[in-house]
Amino acid sequence: MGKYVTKRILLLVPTLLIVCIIVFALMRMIPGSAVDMIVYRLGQAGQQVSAADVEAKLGMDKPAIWQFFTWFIGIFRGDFGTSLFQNESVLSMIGRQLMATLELVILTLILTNVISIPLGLYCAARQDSISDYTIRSISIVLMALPVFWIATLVLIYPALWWQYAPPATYVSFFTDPIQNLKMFLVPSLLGALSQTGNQLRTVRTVTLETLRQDYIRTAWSKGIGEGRIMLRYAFRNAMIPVITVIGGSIPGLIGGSVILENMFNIPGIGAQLVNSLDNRDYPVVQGCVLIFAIIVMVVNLIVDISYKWIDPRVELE
Amino acid sequence: MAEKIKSTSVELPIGGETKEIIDERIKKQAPVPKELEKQILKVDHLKMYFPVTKGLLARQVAAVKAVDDVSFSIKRGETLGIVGESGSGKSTVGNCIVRNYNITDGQIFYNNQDLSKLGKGEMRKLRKEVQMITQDPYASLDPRMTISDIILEGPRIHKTVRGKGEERELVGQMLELVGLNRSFKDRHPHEFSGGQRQRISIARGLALNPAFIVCDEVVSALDVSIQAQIVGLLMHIQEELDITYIFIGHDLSVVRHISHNVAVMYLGKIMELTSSDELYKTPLHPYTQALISAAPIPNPTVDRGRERILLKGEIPSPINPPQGCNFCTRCKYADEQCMQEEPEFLDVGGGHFVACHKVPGTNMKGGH
Amino acid sequence: MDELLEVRHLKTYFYNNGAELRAADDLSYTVKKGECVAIIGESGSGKSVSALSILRLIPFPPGLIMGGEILFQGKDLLKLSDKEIQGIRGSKIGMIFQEPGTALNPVMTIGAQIMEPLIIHKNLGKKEAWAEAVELLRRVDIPNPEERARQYPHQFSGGMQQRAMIAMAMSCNPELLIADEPTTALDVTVQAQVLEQLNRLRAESDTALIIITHNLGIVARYADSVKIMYGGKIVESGSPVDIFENPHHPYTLGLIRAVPRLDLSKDYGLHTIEGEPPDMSKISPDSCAFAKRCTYAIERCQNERPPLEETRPGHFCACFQKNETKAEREALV
Repeated sequence: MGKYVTKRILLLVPTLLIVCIIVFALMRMIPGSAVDMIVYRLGQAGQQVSAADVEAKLGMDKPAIWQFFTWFIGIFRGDFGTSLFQNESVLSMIGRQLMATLELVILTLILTNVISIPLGLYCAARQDSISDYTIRSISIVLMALPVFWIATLVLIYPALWWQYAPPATYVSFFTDPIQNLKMFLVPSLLGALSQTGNQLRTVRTVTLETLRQDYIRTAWSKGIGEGRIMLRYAFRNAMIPVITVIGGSIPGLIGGSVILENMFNIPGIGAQLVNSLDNRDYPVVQGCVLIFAIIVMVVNLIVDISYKWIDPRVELE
Repeated sequence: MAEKIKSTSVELPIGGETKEIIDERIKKQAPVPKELEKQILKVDHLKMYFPVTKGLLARQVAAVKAVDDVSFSIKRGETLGIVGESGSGKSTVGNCIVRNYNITDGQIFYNNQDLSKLGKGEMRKLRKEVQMITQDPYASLDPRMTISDIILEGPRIHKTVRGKGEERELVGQMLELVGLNRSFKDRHPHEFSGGQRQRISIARGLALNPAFIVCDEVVSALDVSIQAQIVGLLMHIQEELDITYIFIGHDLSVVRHISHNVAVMYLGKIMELTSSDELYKTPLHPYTQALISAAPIPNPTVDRGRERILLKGEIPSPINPPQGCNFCTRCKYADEQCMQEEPEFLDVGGGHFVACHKVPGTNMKGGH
Repeated sequence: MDELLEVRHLKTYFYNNGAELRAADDLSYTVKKGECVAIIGESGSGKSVSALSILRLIPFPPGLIMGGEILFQGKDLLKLSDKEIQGIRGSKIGMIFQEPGTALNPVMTIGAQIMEPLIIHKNLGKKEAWAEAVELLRRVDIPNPEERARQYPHQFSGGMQQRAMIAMAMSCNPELLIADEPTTALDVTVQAQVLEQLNRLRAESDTALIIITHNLGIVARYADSVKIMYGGKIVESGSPVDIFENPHHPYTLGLIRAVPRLDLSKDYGLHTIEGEPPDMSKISPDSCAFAKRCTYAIERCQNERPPLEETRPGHFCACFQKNETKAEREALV
């Protein structure tokens, strides 16, 4: 297992290289001269600079390959570059915002699974019962409704009716947990609801499939009760495909946090990314996308390793 | 005391037309040099090893010795039965003969032509003559094709029929030959039972007018009464059309019934090869004796009076067969020589071949 | 009363697209203490269903036990509550299934799976249960049982998997063991090993065995009593000698003659039964299910269902024409 993990981590490097190349190239392909845009923006912000200055600062007067490698090597030294618009290193900017996004993502994940897994198992155990139909219908509705629409409703109506709004200032979890959770609960719940619809159906289908297997019948024949069968047999076996789904949903969660961060004023990476794109703040954008890519790769690695942990038949090469 | 019944195999509802088909076929089959007229297939030291690879670069680290030096010959119009358990290599032998694999070593002579030396065109022609029918009637028929299309697939590729009229005639004849109604031609496989699908597989195999058919576990997935029907059908077709079979199976009773000669395989090698009658009367190899003992006879008085031979242990892996005789790890007669030296495959008299150190010249005659 | 199990007029039906399949159609038989009862049938005979019904393992939907009684040690299993039947499963009545590869939980160790009934039914602690599980593996001749108990099913060969299943089913010393096609998926020599072991074990603990199979040879070798099923009903029942050497029912006769005999000359020939096994949804309750394929069938067979009648002591047959089969019967070897 250790060998496998080391191998996978080492494989991260070439993958990272390719991702970086793509990120780098894509950024440069955005229409509109970035330099002009920067000059314009800086001018608006009160700093008068010339195009040549900008180019020199960005290192854009040097050949693209050189720029790329400087950046790439810099990553390993922890230097992601400096923001063009704020006097901060990209790394520290991302570091600050990343916490918030991660918290949102983790809370959303927890809530999604806490809701969808037990309900999915229940629906499978009580297939075609009234509760099964009801729950499934609700999950389809949840899948159909856009999260931002629900979010809007959630922001407007409670404010109108009860003068309630979630806190709009960010407080770190470590500083004041209660206040922090008050801020994150509603957006996490909303994110969870939109994911639950899909995941619940997957859990249900996969569990039904598992329940059809021969070893379930053997378990019944041993006199094992329904509870233990669902937990020890159905759940564990059904989780194998469900873990894939969860792993696959994480990139979506990270990217999709943009909307919720925006609406609930959470200073996360999503919001940061949109801003920086607008400003053509290359280093920050590159840094953000890179972090996203690394997170996705790490998540994939964790998912793959957890397969082996759950399913002893899996041969990791 | 009841008399033994002398009865021939099953009566099929085949009409008079069949006789014409039969005559046509015998005329169409390829002529063969007089001297070796009888021998249609000869397999010489056939070896089929499958590489086991590891790592990204697919380095070969070991080989699965599926077939490890197998030799036999078959006369035209006869059936060679190959019987064995998992890992014996029996199916692989069948696949090698119909050239589904590129053999690792050895030679296969069909009608005295070395198959490995044939050019592409000649090989193509040969594929019409040598056909294969396999076990699973559910997986081997494309569910989206009609029966007619399934039967005509081969003839269309090899262009042995021209025009809709000939096609219809061929399908009709084939269906009748296997005892199915002509009207079934427009139906789909899922509308039929396991036994009927197996008949369709046989019809498909016969459509190209082959002289040689490899039957790979064709009755293993069928009910007892249906097995009897299919075995009877195959034997009848053999009699009428003079087709040679290799019949691969794991049920010794069935294999022995349909075969003239039987080869018993274990872990890639033939342990014993002799006529089907001789095999039961005088099984020489300990493995054959164990197989015979393990096959219960459907008669309580007879069966409960037999000696019970139980093998110890499990079948070794074909990647790592034992050093000496393949069977030594489970054989109760095995000694030092058996563990170290591989026994030769020898004729101990009358075409009865055995590969066992303990056999020739000793009183290791088995019985039942 | 040495009647361990009494199945009385069992009716298990399946519903599929509006069609009613009578998988077990008014089935009655008994199993004595320590007896080995073999139920023979081909596909569509309802043999597996009859066994699964005993432990109420019929999946609903689509199946339902419609009626009848299953008396085990005097108590009707069909009337027990869920909890009560769970108490019987795995402890008083054990079951082993056809494909051991899929019948074992792939993500649990073999030891853990064998332990389960011990913990649930005999209230053993984890340590004791584990030790017992290892001991059980030893009893079924699995080498290195301590190590093997920690392994997973896919690391066992087919024969070993089946033996592990036997160990699991026998763990609480049941009175009755039901084996549904236990060796169909195994190699011939492995089959012999497993069956011998099964027979030895049950003889040691005086456990009754119901073995469901289509392999006539196994039945001839091990059974004390044989039931032949066709179309959801028992058509003939008796001792192995009755069935194999003196069968009255045309189907039984046909079946026996359809099996190739290793010990006889090939001139003996293979006899076929025309036609196909019945489509369960199309069997009429007012006729003999075998009539369509039967060479002895008369008009009465199409209009009336023949009852199971005793022809000789202990030998029952459900056929109007059972005396007509005499000639064919006497010609058997």
